[in-house]
Order: sequence, then structure tokens, then C-alpha cells
Amino acid sequence: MTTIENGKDAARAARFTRLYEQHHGDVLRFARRRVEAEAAHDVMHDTFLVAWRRLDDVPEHTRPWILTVAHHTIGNRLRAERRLAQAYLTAATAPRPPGETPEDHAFAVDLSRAWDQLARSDREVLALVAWDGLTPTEAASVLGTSPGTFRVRLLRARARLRDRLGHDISSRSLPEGAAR
Amino acid sequence: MSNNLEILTSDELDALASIDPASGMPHQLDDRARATLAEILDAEPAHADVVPLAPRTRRRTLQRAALAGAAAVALAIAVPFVLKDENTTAHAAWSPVGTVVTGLAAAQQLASCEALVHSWATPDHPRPVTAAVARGIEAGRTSTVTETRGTRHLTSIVTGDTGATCLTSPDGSATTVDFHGRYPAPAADSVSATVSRTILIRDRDGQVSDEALRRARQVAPTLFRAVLGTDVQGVEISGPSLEPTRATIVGGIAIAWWPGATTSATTLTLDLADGSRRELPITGALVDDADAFYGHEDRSDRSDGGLVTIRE
Repeated sequence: MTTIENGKDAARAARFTRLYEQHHGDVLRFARRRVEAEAAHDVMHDTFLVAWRRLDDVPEHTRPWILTVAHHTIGNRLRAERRLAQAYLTAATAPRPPGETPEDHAFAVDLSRAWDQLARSDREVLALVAWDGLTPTEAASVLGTSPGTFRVRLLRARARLRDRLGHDISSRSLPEGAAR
Repeated sequence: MSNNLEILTSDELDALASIDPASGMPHQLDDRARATLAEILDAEPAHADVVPLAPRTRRRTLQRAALAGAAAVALAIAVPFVLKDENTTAHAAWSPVGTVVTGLAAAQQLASCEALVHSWATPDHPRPVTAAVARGIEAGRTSTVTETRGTRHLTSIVTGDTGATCLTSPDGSATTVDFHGRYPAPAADSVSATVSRTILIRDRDGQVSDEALRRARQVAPTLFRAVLGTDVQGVEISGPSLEPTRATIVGGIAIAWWPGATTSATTLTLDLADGSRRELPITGALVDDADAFYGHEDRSDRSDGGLVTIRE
């Protein structure tokens, strides 16, 4: 057990607490998109434990760094528990927004189906941008690749999603409540 | 997000957001998140080289105990238990007496266990026992037993001469599994049994902090499975650091789990059909071979799977 009893430790704890409050939601959502709910909480714990122990290494622009740690933590879990890979970056199955039209519902179903048919590597690059909200440069750092390579992968993944869907996403209107 | 619009349009981003599985998750700290924060702050700060940015998966087998009755010889492969904090909660709710689970709940646990068995019966893990169990499941199980003990379920599958025992979390996810070969038929007043306990620790470059190891030792569960002699009607496991624990019995199979390790002073007490009781000490050597498999990067390296020969 660590007793926070001097000024340096207190300052360290305070800094970590701010970091946790600011990014715990990002990490939890990042994890939940890739593993089941219970495992996502474990990933969050392990990720922030790394941050706590490497606090001096945490950069000022924290989000890509902490999501990179989460990415590695999830990778370890997937290697240890292969079953978790089944839930990796699958589309939401939650109830659709109230008031959704049959057309909107059909589109969401088609999009989910097209998404789930993509290769995991395609879902990964799309999710980092569309779900995790990272820029291509930030997402590239999470995957340990160059921004240029990531952009190419993202373009190809987008094209494959369009092929699976049978048309451009942009060619139809979106349901109420679907906007970010 | 503007940089993302270089490649994805706002319509595309919005459409993809609508199928985001995490879209409804809260942004504010809830009680669980606060508890996690407190737990991390309470953890021992470690040197940077202990907990890495990109840790590799390594394994420490903490303890596999061989347990012997009058004529107990069995083989077991213990798959690493994945350390996670949910175990602390699970252990708090642990009960020394289990309850038999049947019906849909048992079927769900069985499905989880079978999925885990199949995930191990792959070319990456070419072990005869895992393959045999998977084939046995495909061919039809001969029997299953499921118990609940606190928040965990323990499921034992028997497939002819082989079988597997899985410990699962409330959400149905399996946390650990034991594969075993044939248990020799015990004497009428005895048992054939295995006790196993393994964990998985993440580390880097051979560095595992004492704190991580201490915590792992505290929370890793021990699995018990026994084939009973015809006169055995009850089994209790007890020891200096173990509350007397009743095994759950169905069809001549006894199963139980408990938090933490087993010591060499652990004893089985058998309830016999004639009303008498018989005590059997654990006579197999308790092996703390934490270093025996240390350094293997991938669990498939453990080609022996932690085979345990149980001695009288």
C-alpha cells in the first residue's frame, strides 16, 4: 500500500487524478468497442495502472498516448482470451433510437451488417477515426504506423465498406439522433 | 475532427457513430470508476521498466498441486488464469458451499466452457488432451456438472476419457479452464482428484514486480475436481488457510473452487455411505514452480501444458 504523505506524492496523485477524470471515459469507451463490458473495465484499470506507474512519461497531449496503452492492453487480453476477439469492434446491437423510420432502421441494419463483414484491420482503422475520434496522425501512432500508411489503409477500408454496403454512406440521409 | 474530414465525410462519420457500441456509455465518473481510481492510487508505484507500454504476455504458473487419494493418478492441463480485479469481488462473495445449477443457466455456462475449450484446441496449441476434449464435445458429452459459488460458476465437462473444467464470471466469460485426461477408477472409499492453480502475469523483459506477483497470488483461484469412489457421498476440503469447503457432487463427480492457494496441510474429508468419515491428506508434492515456465513469451510455448502426474 502506498501512503501519500509528502508533497511530491500528493502532487503526483493529484496530477494522476486529473488525468483519470479527463480520460477514463475515453479509455472505457475505447475498450468497450473492442471487448465485452466486464473486460472493458479491466482494460481501463490496467491502462491507468500503467499511466500511474509511468506518470512521468505521460505526454501533455495525453489522449493518443493513453489510447495506445489501452490498445496494447487489449492486445494482450485478446492473446490470453481468444474468445474476446469475437466481440472486437462489432457494430452496436443496442435498441435503435425512438422514432426511427423503417427506412432508417433498414439502413442501420445494412450498415451494421456491412461493418461486421469487414476485416478486423479495416474496422480498426475506421473505428479509430469514426468512433474513437482520433485524427489519422493520432490513430497512426496508436497502431504504430506512419500517418501516410494509415491514410492509405483508411481509404481502402472506406472503399471496402462502401462495396459491402452497395452504395456511398453519404448518398442517404441519417436518422434523428444518429448525429455525433 | 476536421482532419478526419479529409478522408471521411461528416455523413460517413455520423452514420458510423450511429452503430458505435459505446455510444451510450456515461462520460462522468460513476461509483465503479471512482473505486478503480482509488484502487490505482493505492497501488505501489513501480519503476517504469516493470509495467511496459507494450507488454508481452508471459506466464507464471504459481502452483499446481497434486492430490492423491488411495489410488489417484490423473493428468491435467491448467490454462492460465487471467488476473483481473473482478476476482477480488468474486472472492468476497465466495461461499464454502456450492449449489448445483441446472436448466438454462447451466446451458449458458456450458456454452462458455465449450467455447473456451475450442479456442484452445487449435493448431497453435497441439495438445492431445485439448484436441480430445474438443472432439469429445463434438461427438457428444457424456456428462456435465455446473455449480454456482458466490458470483462464479464452475462447469465440468466429461467427454469419455477426457474432460475440462471451467470457472466462469457472471457475464459468462470464462476466466480459466483445466483440461484433464482419464481419472483412474478410485477405490470405493476413495477419490481420484486434481487441484490446479495457474495465473497469467503481464510483464516485459522478464520483469515482474513483487507487487504484481503478490496480488496475483492473492486472487488466483484454485480448481478442484474429483471422481468419487462408489461409497463416497460427500467431500470437504479444508486446511489452515482454507475454510472447510464442500464440493458439489453430481453423478460421482465432485467439483469446487476457492480463492487463493492450497497448502500442503490441506485435507480431504470423505463422507462414506456407511456414515463414517475418512480423511485423505494431499500427498502429492505442492509445487510452486513460478520460475519453471518463466520466460516463455507465448503460452503455446508451454507445449507440455503443465502436465501434472499425481502420485499417491
